[in-house]
Amino acid sequence: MNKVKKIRINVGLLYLLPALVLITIVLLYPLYSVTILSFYHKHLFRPGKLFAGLANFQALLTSRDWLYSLRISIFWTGLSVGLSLVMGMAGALILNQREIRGRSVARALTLLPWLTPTVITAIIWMWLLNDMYGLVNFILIKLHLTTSGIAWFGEGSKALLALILIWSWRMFPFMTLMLLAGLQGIPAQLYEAARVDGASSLEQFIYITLPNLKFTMLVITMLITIWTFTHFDIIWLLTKGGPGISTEVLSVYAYKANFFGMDTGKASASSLLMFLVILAFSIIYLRLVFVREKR
Amino acid sequence: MMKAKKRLLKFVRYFLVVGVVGTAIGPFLWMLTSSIKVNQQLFLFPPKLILFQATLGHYKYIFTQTDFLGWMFNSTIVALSVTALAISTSILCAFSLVRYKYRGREFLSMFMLLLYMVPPVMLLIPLFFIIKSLHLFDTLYGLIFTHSAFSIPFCIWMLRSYLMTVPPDMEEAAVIDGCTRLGAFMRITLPILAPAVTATALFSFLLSWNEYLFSLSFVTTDSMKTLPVGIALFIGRWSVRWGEIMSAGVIGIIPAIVLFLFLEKYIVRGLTAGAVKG
Repeated sequence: MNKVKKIRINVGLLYLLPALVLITIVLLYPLYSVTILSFYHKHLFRPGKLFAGLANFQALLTSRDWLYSLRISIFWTGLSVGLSLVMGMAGALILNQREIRGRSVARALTLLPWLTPTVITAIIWMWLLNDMYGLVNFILIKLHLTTSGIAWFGEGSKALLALILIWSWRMFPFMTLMLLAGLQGIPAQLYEAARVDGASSLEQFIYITLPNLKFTMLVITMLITIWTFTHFDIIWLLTKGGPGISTEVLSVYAYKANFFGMDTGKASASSLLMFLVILAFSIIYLRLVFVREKR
Repeated sequence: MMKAKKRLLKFVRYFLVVGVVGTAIGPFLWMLTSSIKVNQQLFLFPPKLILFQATLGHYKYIFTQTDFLGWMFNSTIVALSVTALAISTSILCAFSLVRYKYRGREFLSMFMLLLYMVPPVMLLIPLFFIIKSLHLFDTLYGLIFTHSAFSIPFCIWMLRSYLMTVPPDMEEAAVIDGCTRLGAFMRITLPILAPAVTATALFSFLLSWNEYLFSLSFVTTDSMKTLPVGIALFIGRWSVRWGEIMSAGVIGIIPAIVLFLFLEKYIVRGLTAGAVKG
């Protein structure tokens, strides 16, 4: 007797296919490819590649320029995330006030910097920070903080400061929005009880607000750290890593190595190392979000 | 005495709110005013804040003397196509991840989120080679193709989150009545999810419209470029045409403004789903 075996395919898996096929081509294969490339010497336009083992990694980890790039990336990320957090917290607390009318309008308007194309952010601030005609210099002079205005992009440290301020301006709406949502989740009774017990506003903030926001703050800090560390657009548009290499973060380093240095192998290795750094943050973020979801 | 203190407090509250909103939109207002200032008044130091001579000349220039309109067209085509592609594949994918049970379902879901976290810079180099070998370099197809790299994981994640809030009861009832599971999903659940799907689609459109890195690296012919890359060209080419650059910026943020009017609710809900609720 012939046994006809019925193969049962979970049709649900079929529905995954279109997305998975595309993802494999544009995400998975490139990820695999960039990993492989980092172990080879490859010129951008000449065909073929030469196996190099760990040569690229060795070159990077002993290169003063690359190590500087790593340091600058960490510095830029740390300060930007810190500043965004502070601005975001302030923004959330201010916009959370129940006594204000038009809160939702204010909240919506505040979102704008985060939604605009990075190019627009760049041109706005290039104009604002223009050393001759910029509004920022005008305000600084009026406030007697400087006598003749600052050449924002003329010097490394000032350029970096400008980038950090611009990026924080761009990120703070996201922070504000997230923290605001978190704040609105804290029951008012907690504050009531604290006020009855005589707690000051500062004490209420430290002992009620902050602990309740811990999870939210952790999650968005992870996200913003990842976004900031790997960001390319703003830095490229405003300074191209300059003056010199003073603002050359890792993403810019890899871009230059590949498209100007023609050293695809080295650029891939640099990208891989950058990815490994943020992988840690990504995993923490994922575990945080998924644990919450299970509850 | 109490009344005066209360009024002062109220003033401070509004002042702070104005401060926050002002910080956010102030620079945009400056861009707007700069875009309509006559050149002589634009290059003044100290800058003229109000009461300046206005002109639409800068706008006229970018529309008639540059590829600006072409760039807008390119961006629109790419963004629409990417969104159509992403939404259609992601809806099916989300449906599968939420309504069906199979091994590795949870892993796949987490994997999708991880994929969204992949920095585009990492994909840049290999995608460059892939695009070239597929002869899609310097074409809009190449951009549509590469933009899906971030659009699809994003859409899957969003749609999955939204779908999880809709109970399967009605679908199951329809299946008992003889409908296919997919049919039930499309006829019953999708209409319910329509606002959420629309929001995700709009967001995906915006992500593609705003995108710079891939659009910069995979298209080199000026007329084929997308809007952000084109505007960036202005910066490089002109050192003093700030009026024109500002007007390009004003036009460039219109999609963002239009969409954020619709999306404001959903941004909060969508992004906080699972990330904040505790």
